[in-house]
Amino acid sequence: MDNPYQNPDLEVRNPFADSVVPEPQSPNTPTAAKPNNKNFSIPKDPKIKILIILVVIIAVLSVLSFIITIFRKSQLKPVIVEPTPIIETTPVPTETPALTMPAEINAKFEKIDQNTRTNIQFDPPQIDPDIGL
Amino acid sequence: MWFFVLFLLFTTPALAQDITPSSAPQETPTTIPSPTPAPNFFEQYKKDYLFQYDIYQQSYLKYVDKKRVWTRYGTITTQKEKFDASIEAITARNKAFKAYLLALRTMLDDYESVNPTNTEKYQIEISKWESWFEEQLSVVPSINNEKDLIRWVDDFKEKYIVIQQTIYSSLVQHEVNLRQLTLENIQSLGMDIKTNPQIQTESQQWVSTLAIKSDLVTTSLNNAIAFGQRSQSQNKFNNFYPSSKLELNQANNYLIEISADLKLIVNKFFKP
Repeated sequence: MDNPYQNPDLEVRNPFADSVVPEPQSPNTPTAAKPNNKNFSIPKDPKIKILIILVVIIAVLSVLSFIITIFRKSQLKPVIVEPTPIIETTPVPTETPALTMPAEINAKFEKIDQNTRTNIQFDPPQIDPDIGL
Repeated sequence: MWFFVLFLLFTTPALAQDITPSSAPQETPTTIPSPTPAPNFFEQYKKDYLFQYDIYQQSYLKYVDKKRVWTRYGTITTQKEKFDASIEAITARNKAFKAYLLALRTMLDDYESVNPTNTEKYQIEISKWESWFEEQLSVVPSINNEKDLIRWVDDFKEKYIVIQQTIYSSLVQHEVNLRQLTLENIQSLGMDIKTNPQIQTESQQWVSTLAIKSDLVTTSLNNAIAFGQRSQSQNKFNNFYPSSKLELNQANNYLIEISADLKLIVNKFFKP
């Protein structure tokens, strides 16, 4: 329902204006957000929430890295390179321990190993059979 | 006079290569001379072959050079020089082949006892080709015209296919003999392990399981021989040696595995 017009130049109030009862504002009516720095509220949009969380994490990490960098710089000192120490102990032989077996069997094993290591390599001559053509 | 005759009878002549010079102090040898080692004929023949092959390579380079000059100028003189270089290179090649075949035949003696029938068959074939190359040493230098030379070369190219097959088959047979000998040694060793009183009887069942790998060795050796028995093309040699060599290497790997397994068995069950 429209409000009856009240002419401002007239002293007489519009009689119809008094009879108009202002409608109560429903709680669901959107109202413009008033800027209020003291009562900051987190936005309800989940995307913005995630964005804010990420920004906060990045900021925290940046601050931490900055602090750690400053701390490490303060710890750096000139390193004196020491010469490699010379081992004076006798080196331990790396040979595999001798197998425990009868001597005659060991001799046969050596013969077999020698045969398996033998590689026959006696390639025929590489020639040109077309000599003379 | 008599003094002169006696002097001639009882004095020893001074030889040019006398190993005991008169100025050297004469000492009685105190060391016992070691027995003369058996000469390794294969190594000697191999050296001779390498020497002959080196001569062939030099002759071949000379032939290539003369052929290039003849191709460029085409004169009668350059043709004669190319012909002479051909004869020289072919003769050197025949000598190299003869030396190689002699060394190869000698090499086959090493493990002939494992398979004497097949080994001797290849040795006879090699001897035949040795004789042929020996004969050609007098035939080739007597060739005096291009036509006969070309005919000889064509004949040689046909024979060369058979020669290569003989050579590679012999090489395969030689290595098969060696692997077969090793397998026999391993089987003999397995029997020794079974009967050795210092080795626990539990080892017997483990030794028996090695028969499976022994069969694999035999199969690989048979495959290696079979590659060489395929018929060859008349115009081109089909080299089977790489395939045979793979089978031979496989057989050798099985032998190494069997030997390693036997060592483990002996070490586990040996009670000194």
